[in-house]
Amino acid sequence: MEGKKWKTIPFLEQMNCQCFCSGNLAFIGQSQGHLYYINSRNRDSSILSVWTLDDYCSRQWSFKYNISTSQLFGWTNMRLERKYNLIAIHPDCNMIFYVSRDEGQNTLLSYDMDRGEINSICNIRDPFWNPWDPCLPYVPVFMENRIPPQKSSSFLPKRLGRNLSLGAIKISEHGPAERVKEECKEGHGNIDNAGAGEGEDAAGEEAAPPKEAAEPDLAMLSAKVDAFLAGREADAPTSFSELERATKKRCGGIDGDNPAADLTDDLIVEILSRLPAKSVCRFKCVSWRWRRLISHRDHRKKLPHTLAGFISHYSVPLHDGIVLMPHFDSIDGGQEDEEEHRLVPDPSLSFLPGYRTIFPKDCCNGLLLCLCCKNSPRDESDYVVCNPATQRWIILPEIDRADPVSTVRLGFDPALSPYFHVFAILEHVDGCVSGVEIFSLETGAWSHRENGWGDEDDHTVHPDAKSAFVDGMVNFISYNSAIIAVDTEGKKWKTIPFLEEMTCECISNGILAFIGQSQGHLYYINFRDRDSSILSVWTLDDYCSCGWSFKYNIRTSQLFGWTNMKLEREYSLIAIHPECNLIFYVFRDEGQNTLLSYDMDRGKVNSICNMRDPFWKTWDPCLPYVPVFMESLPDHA
Amino acid sequence: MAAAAAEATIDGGGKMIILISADGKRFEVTEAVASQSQLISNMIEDDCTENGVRLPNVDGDILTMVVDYCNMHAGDAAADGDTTKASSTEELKKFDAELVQALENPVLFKLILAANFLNIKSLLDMTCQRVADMMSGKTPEQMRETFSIENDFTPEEEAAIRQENAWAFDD
Repeated sequence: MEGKKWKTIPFLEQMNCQCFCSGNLAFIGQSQGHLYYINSRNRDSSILSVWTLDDYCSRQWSFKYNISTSQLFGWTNMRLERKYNLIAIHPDCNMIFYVSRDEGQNTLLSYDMDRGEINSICNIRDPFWNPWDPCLPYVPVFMENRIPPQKSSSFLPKRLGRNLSLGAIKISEHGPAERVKEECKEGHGNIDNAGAGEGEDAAGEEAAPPKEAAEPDLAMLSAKVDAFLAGREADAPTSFSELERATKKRCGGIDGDNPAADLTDDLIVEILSRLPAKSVCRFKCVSWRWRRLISHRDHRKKLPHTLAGFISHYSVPLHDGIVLMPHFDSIDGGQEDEEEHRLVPDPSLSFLPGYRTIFPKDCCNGLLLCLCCKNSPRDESDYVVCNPATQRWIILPEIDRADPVSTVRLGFDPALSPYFHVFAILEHVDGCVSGVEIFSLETGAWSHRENGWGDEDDHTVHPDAKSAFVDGMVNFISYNSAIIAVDTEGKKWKTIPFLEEMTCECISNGILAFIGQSQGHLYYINFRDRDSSILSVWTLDDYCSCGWSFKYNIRTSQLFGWTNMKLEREYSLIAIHPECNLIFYVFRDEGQNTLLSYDMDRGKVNSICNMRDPFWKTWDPCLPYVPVFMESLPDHA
Repeated sequence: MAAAAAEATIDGGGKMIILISADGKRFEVTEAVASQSQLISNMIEDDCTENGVRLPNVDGDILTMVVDYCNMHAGDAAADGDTTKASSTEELKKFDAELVQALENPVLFKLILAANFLNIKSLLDMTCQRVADMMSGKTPEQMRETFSIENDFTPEEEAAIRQENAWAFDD
């Protein structure tokens, strides 16, 4: 304000708009203490993008919203050239005001960016109103101690303004001077009573001066105004009181005395980031604002996550054969449709360069292990670990051993270590486990460990058997009626024998047994021996003591609503929800694969989606994915 | 109008800075104490603390707590501060634990707003953690009450969201 500080805030590349006529219509405004910038996307005037300078000093723009212009009008393919103008942004909430010009009529509307709601406010009185004519947002302030009252009229625009009946916006008028005077007499255009008369919708208590700073007489005045407003609200016109209520709602506060109502979005996210995923998920239904905050891309990195969906693949026929493309199915229906909410921005993993086919192998706490076949030479492949959320990745060095590798699995728990480990089980020619190669991101190398599960019980692990990472140890089902586990250093080896009733002598059922991790415990699910119509669920409540406890019996008829469903009927257990007693399975019927979930506590089945690949088979990947935004992987971008 | 906290200020070298709360209370603190606030630290760098720092967003009673906190933590913030002045880690832990345990709404939220405005990261972390501890295990209804949030979902909308996240509502 002293002409001492000068500042240039450059735009981000995507904020520029090369089309001059659109660029010219860019909008800046202030809301909630931040500078907002709104413009249409370059070359795509059907989308308005909203950026803010969260921290004015640092000049860091952050992207806030994409608004499809069709949302502003309820019609599709509305273009910027179609006549409408951004007028203002509400100083206290995420609401923009704009004028739509259509057939000689100018309508003032508001759009709530959080809720996507439109409100028509009024028609602008001047039918000849043009984009560059004033339509100025007005917030009444009652502190006039530095301005002599008689001069207050000099605040009016030259042509003399009048407060629009829905007050936060002020508009000039081409009317004859006499009329304007008349209106002043009627009390429409006089600043001194504008607040008392018509400015009451300007965001409730914020309209009054800050009480701490007010002189006693001002405080009294403000109290009177408050009282007046309170009385006025009851008999106000419906459209007005609706707007008032809506405004209050969107601003999130109903109690002016509670400082919690003043918490900014960033502060609420700061608090939510310290809660477990379950609480955050529960608080989605506190209000629209909280729901929006929790699912917004900008806050993703801070907030804890839970199961978001499943990573699988589908086959794409090319001229020289079939390639596999990774694919992601979200379990959170609607939100994935909007680009800004996508948890996996590039599900085909095209950020991994030079690979012809990418085969997802294992997924553990946000990281994905893939076997990737090179474009050339065709017969070479790499194991790659990537983070689909941050698009960072690393290629693992080759395993330099004579013994063949049977099973490769990933172990990662950001609560234990920022570094992931990859476990490769080596087998003898007879198929028995000979040892384990363990890759550590920390050392960047594989290290070999001789089989520590004992010689007398030779173990065999199916290459595609399910595995689970629990307590820093990776667990596999061995054909030898046990679960075998090894820790990330290859020092701790563990054999967890099954209880008698957990074993299944029918080998085809036995290999379909499922293990997974949920709520910190290892879960085991398999058919009852000799009765494939019942699935039994056990857990290791205490991982150290190796004591199994029986949890549920699930009749397969419950999973499909039909009786006498047999394992031979094609369906596969895919995953267990990491936070609750929900299992996921794929049902294969007549060339269609459907992903379903079953709530073991409530006995409820939910259909989630159809698998993209109609040729999906039991051993094909369908890996539960929980996004994690940690950054220990190298950045190749 | 110097508050008790100002008198308790450790007498150290360096300039003194006057902080003025919204209600006009004045606090005299050393630069080391004040510069735990990134906001004030920046102002010190820009040399604009000459006539006192007005903090129109912070009430006197809240600023008293902030100044107390900064006084306690001045030792560990100073890079090579005098060890005799620096409070021991044990003392600090005890002080922080007592401060945070005593905090309830609305003072807690006012302190968060002040810590955010003044940009004191450690105090912001501590107070946000306290709110998170109070929130965990609570219902959305209790949250609306604590945060004075109006439920703007229709009953159908709320039921749909609850259905989608049913697992999160199990106890």
